[in-house]
Amino acid sequence: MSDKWEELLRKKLENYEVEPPPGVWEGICEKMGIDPVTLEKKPAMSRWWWVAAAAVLALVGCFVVYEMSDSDQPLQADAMAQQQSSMLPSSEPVLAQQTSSLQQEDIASPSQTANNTHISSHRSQNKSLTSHLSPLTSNLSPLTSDLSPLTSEPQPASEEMVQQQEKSPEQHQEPSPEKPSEYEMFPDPVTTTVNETSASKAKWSVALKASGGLLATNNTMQTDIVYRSASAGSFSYEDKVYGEITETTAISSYYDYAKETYSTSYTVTEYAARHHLPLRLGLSLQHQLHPRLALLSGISYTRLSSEFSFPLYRNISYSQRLHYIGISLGMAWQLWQVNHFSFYCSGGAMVEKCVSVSLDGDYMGRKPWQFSVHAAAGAEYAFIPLLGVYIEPSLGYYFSDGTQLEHYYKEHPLAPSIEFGLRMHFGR
Amino acid sequence: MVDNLVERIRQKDQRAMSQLYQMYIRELSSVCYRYVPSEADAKDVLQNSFVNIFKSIPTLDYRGEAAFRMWMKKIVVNEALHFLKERRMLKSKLGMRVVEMDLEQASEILPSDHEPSETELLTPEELHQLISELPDGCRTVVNLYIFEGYSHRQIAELLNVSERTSASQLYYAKQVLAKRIKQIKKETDNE
Repeated sequence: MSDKWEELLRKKLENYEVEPPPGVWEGICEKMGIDPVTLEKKPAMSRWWWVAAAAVLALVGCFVVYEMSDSDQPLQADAMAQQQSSMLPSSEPVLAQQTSSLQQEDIASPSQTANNTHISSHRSQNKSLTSHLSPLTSNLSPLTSDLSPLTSEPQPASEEMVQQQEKSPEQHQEPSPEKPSEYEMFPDPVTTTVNETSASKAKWSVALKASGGLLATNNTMQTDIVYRSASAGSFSYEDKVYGEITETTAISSYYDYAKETYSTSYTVTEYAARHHLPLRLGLSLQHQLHPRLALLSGISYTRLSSEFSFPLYRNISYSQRLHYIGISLGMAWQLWQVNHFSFYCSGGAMVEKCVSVSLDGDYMGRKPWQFSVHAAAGAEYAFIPLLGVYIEPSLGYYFSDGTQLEHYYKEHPLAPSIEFGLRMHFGR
Repeated sequence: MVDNLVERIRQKDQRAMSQLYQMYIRELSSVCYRYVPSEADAKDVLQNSFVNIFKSIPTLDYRGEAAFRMWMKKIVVNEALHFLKERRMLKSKLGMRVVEMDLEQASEILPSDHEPSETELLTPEELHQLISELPDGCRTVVNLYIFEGYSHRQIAELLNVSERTSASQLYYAKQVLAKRIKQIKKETDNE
């Protein structure tokens, strides 16, 4: 009867908790020489986030600068081609273009016709000169065409020039080389060579991507054996000598003592962990080394979140958030291309730095590196030559980070995932 | 997870200390208040307890979270007893009621009209409050005997009293508790 009553009292207060007296932590900090600020949360934007943001901006900036300088070259090449075509016996195509634009401007602003009469007469004189100076004018034409927007007033063309312009398309149209269609069929992926469609001709590709894990996570239990007193019916672990707590030897051997003293033992669940599927967002850059082969790199952000609960103590549960910034490097090989679709496989490695570990909003100190290797097979559908969407199932192997942190990749070192995103192609 | 915190505290990680504190302070406060009801005294006891916990962790042989939690509770209990001894609160109070009883009798005895169902209805807050209201001496014995699982012999060694004194304190505490529980039951019924 009495034992049952005592057991009842014990159970009543087994998990009872109360608010601590105010100022306990401050007193501990004072005695330990700890900074009391450690209890406060860090600002949301840590310096690692700034570093990551700066790296992304630098990457995008470099790409844009490179792309702009690269895209100037084809324009210059086009201009040179036009110059060369104007070196043909007649220079009318260039003039025709000029007169066409001039005529349009003239129509657009008839009120200025009177003012431009003088100019048009000069133009007609110039026209007679161009037949003699055609090589010179043709060489200068890119320059003059560049300067023309700077002239404040529109310049009407003479009727003669307009007539020539009307004739010119048929008379002087160059036989244009046969343009390949935007996308070509590849009926036989084995025997056909890769035809350079718009997407595959692109020197650079940039992708905005997101990916998630595929393996569902179960509650993983961490168990431990505890010993129960056969007589008193309570948990007992420590030494029988009820002395000062500075008896560290007694404390460290409490387990051995418990084994010897108490007859019954059983296994309890120390804590249960539930890891959520990882989420990864990123930006990747692809450089075409060869029609089939491309070099891949990118920067990514990964979030791993987990929940921990302690079944022995119903009031204790914690959530953990790990935030990583990673850089990847790899190669991609195009397998097959048909119509708007292309199929490829890729492989690479990634190094990620944990930039933040939070435990229910409080920040922890140790931030490990995470190394992994990946293999993927993907398919891309290009709406237009510049833009496509892709989906990429992949398999990654995540090496141990050497810490006791528990997360999704500790539970699933070999982790399949699916990635999808938008890919833009530049520099054709 | 707790093992990770312990490992980090060994490496003098202050954030790990604050996390450990946040994890267990409410539970350990409950233990502390059972021995030392005064807020100011409980504050001193808890501060000394955590200082000792942090200082002892480097030499601790960590054997699982459950054992670690019990170890911390034990440190709080030790610190509370040390505090009560220093203030001479135990000796004077225990000396007031030296009713030496047969050990078995003291352990088993309960008021004849006590019904366990009355205790069942009690909330943890109410029970905690009832224990806090006990005199220091018998409150300490109740805590050590019922909640910590000590024998009268261990309590006697610990508090420097005879085993029979410990038993009588337990008897007295049970009488008081049973009486107060009955009162609360009546008050609840009247409401």
